Formats: sequence, structure tokens, C-alpha cells
Amino acid sequence: MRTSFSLKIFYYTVLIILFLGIIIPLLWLVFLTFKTPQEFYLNPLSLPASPNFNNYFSGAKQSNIMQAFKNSFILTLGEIILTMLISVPAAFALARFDFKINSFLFSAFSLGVIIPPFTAIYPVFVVIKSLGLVNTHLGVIIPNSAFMISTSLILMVGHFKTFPKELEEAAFMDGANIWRLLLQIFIPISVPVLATCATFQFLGGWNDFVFPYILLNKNSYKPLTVVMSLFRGQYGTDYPGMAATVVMAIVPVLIAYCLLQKYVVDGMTAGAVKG
Amino acid sequence: MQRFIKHPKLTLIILLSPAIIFFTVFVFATFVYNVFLSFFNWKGVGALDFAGLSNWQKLLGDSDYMLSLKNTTIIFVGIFFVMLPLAFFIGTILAKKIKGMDFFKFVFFAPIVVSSVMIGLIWNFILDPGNGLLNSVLRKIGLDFLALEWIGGRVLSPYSIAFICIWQWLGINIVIFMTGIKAIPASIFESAIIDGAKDRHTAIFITLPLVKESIISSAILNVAGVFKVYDLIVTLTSGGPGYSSCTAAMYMMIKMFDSGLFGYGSAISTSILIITSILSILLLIYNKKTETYEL
Repeated sequence: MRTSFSLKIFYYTVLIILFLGIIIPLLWLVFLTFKTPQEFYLNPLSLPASPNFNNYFSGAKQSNIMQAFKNSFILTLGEIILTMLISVPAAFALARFDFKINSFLFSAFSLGVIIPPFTAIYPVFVVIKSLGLVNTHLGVIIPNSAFMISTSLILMVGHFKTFPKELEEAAFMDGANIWRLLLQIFIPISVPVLATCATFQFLGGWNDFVFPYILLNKNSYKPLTVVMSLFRGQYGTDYPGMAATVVMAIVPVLIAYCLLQKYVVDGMTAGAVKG
Repeated sequence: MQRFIKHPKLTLIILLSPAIIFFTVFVFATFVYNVFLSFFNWKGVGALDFAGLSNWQKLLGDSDYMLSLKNTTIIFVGIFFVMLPLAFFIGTILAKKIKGMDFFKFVFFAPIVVSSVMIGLIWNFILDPGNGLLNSVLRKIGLDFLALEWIGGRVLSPYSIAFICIWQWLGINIVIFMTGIKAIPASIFESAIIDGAKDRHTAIFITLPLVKESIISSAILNVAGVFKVYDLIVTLTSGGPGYSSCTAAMYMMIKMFDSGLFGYGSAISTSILIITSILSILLLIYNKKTETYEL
């Protein structure tokens, strides 16, 4: 199917306008970071007299930013591990076992996709408090993982179902038990889907705000999102300083996106397409 | 599967119980608890004080809550009547075999991977009425009268929020449509083109009906998304001035954690879940009632 030349011009024009719309806010953000606050207030649009990296240095020096990075990392890693530990066995059971409430359970888990986590925040707070986990990383990891089960299951069950029955039969004939079947056959052949799940969980964990915002009130435990949300008051109107910190905070995610593009796109759209 | 295993029931329980326990405690039980708490007055300490339907009555007469629903509706309208058609249009373009489409897809998708907290801060730098990019440029080119109070004022903030949501979510919706469109066999388009159909005809009469499932699922995703808008506002306007730029989610969080009205907050939270569920169910019913074409 060929697209005519004039139509191609039209399509490219639309795409380039949209491209500029997406990219200009991000370029402006980077542009700001090279200006001194004085330059910014005299004329926001002027080119910086000389490229100035001080905003990055002073941002990095704030000890709470480095601590926040570390906290985000711990929370995200914990959430990926816990969600995997919970979801993989459950997905295996839902995909490969025949039992009465199988499809009911799967539908129930899938419903989780439409429940906004913030509606659960107070009850979650009550549970976490009664477990004595307020102001601990584990206290955020547990509820957040629970909310990640839905999408992970939707992705994994769909995938586990695609393998033929002969695969399990052959494994059992060869004397494998159920645990070896899961650990040495299903998990290794499902690495791409598990990677998609892990990427989805990484983004969910790294970008999560509501749970750590309410469940962690000691500064030394707060992740980047929470620390950054307090910036508007803290920095006042030092926009260049604030912009430099925003750049530092989003670079890891953007790098991950560049490297793992396929997994990121699959993971983020999975809940929608297969749900 | 079961016939190969010694203790099938026990194995099943071991495999499933962690997921069931976590999901029940943190997802389903929270809903039940919210409904329960919405019938009480509670300030976080002391005994529960039964309030009957008073929280719900208060909710229906609460003009700030209605305002937050109105703001949520503005975002909803922007997403459904501006973003979805635009995403469908761009999706049809990106699904074509023209050079550079992967690059555009890569860039358009990027905003959704960045946390809404950061997106809120980034758009501050652009929409700030004083030193933001938008107004600076408008003043520079002599359009001072257009340099409005995009955020921070009482009028325009909800519209700016809707615009930012469109900016952030457009890419993921484009990809959902694109995936659906790519699944349509090329032969269908080819025969239409042989019959003399133009691109715009095939888009409306072939692609649109065939990707209905993608449209419904992305619509459901967006309903949930609209009611989740909270982090973005925290760093963009904090819901202010007053409650003027609150969404339903923001209003609930303020009532619960700033005012400490847990019973009332639970009523708001339950109402949000009810509205989201009704809208999702309506979309699913619509999906069932209308014709679906098997590919």
C-alpha cells in the first residue's frame, strides 16, 4: 500500500508539530538549568552568558537528594522482587490448573486495574500502622506490590497459557515435579514477558507518590517523588536550581526508557490492551 | 496438570494464597473499609461515632466537592473528546509503513514514563504567569493580552491541567491504537483502495470499527486515569487557590489528611470508586451491545 507524496507531507507536518509540542517543554527544562537565577529573572528567554553547571552541583550537594535517590532505589527494587514472588506462582496456577473458581479469580484480580490506589490510602495506612510498619521501606513496598499484582497477572497469565500441554506432560514424564517445572522450564522460557513486567513495576515503583507520601514522614526515608513534591515551597522561585534537580531526577527513567524501549511500551500498554 | 501432582489442592493453595491475601487485604478490604467508615465520624483517635447517612448528605451539598467533580469533568472532556480522536488520528499515521515512524513513537511515548510529580514541576516552568516560557514568549512577540494566568488563577487552572494530561497521555493512547490498527490484515485495506477508497475513508469506515476493542479498553484506562489525577496537581497548583483547581482525588486527600475528616474522606473516596465503576461498566456494556468484527 503506497501513500501519495502530498499525503506524506501532510502526515509529516502533523507529526513534526506534535514532536515539537512534546520536546519543547523538556528542552526548556534543560535550558533553564544553565542559567543563573539572576539571568533568569532579568530575562527568562536570554541565552546564558556562559554555560553554568552550578545548579547541578548545588543540587547534588543537597544531601537529601542523594538519600532520596537511594530510597527510591530501595523501594523500587523491593517492589519488583515482592511483586514477582507473589505474581509468578499465582499466574502459573491461574494459567495451568483447571479448578472451579479459576476464571472468577482472574477477573477479580483484573478489576484491580481500575481501582485508583489513592482511594485505598487510609485503610492501607491503618493496616500498615497496625503491623508497625509506618516509616519503614517495607511498609510502602507491601501495599504498592499488592496494587501491582493486577497488571502483572494479566501479562503473565496470558503468556503462560500459550505453552502447549505437552510441555508439562513431557516434563512430568521425565520425573520433574511441579516446582522444577515452574523454576526450570516456565520461568526461563518466559524471560521476555517477565522483563516486561519488571519494567512496568520499575516505572510504577520509581514514579509512585501517594503511598510513600502518606506512609513515610521521616525525611531520611522519603523517595525522590516525595522530596521533589516539597520543592515548590522549599526553592521558592529559584527555577534554575529546581530545574537542575528535576533533570537529575528524570534522567535515570529516561535512560531506562531508551535502553528498554520495547519492554517499557509493552509493559505500560499491557493493562489496557489485554485487560 | 493436576493429575501429575501428588497434592493438587495443597499445591494450588501454596501457589495462589500469597496473591489472594495481599490483594484482599490491600485492595478489596480497603474498599469495604472505606464504605464502612463513610457512615461514621472519625478524627483518627477515640471511638467511632456513628453518623448514619450524614457524610453522604454533606457530600451532595458540598459545593467544593461539586467544584472538584466539575474540574475532573473538564479533564474527562479533554481526554475523551480531544485526546482520543487525536490519538486515533496519529495512530493511523504511525501504523503506516513510512520512514521515521518508530522514532516518532519513541518520542511521543516518553512523557508517560516520567512521574507526574516531575511533569507538574516541568509545566510550572512553562505556565508560570510571570516567568514561564509561554508568557515570556507571548510578551516578546507583542501578544501581551494573551499572556494569561494559566496556573495559579481561579479560572484557567483546570483547563491547563486537562491540557497537561493530554500532553502526558497522548503517546500511550497512540501506541494502543497503533497496535490495534497493525493487527488488521493489510488485504482489507488493499481491496478498499482498489475499490477507490481514500485514506480518510479507510480510516473512518474500516479502521475505526475494527479497532473498537482498543478504543473501549483505552477509554476504560482513561476513566481510571482521570480519577487518579493527583500527583500532577500537588506540584502544579496544590489544588489552589482555595479548592479552585482540585480534582476529586485531590479534594479527598485534603479532606482526609489535612482536615483529618476520615469518615467524610471515606465517603468521597467511595463516591469516586462508584463513579469510576459505573463509567467502566457502561463502556463494557456498550462494547457488548455493539457489533464486534472478528479479524
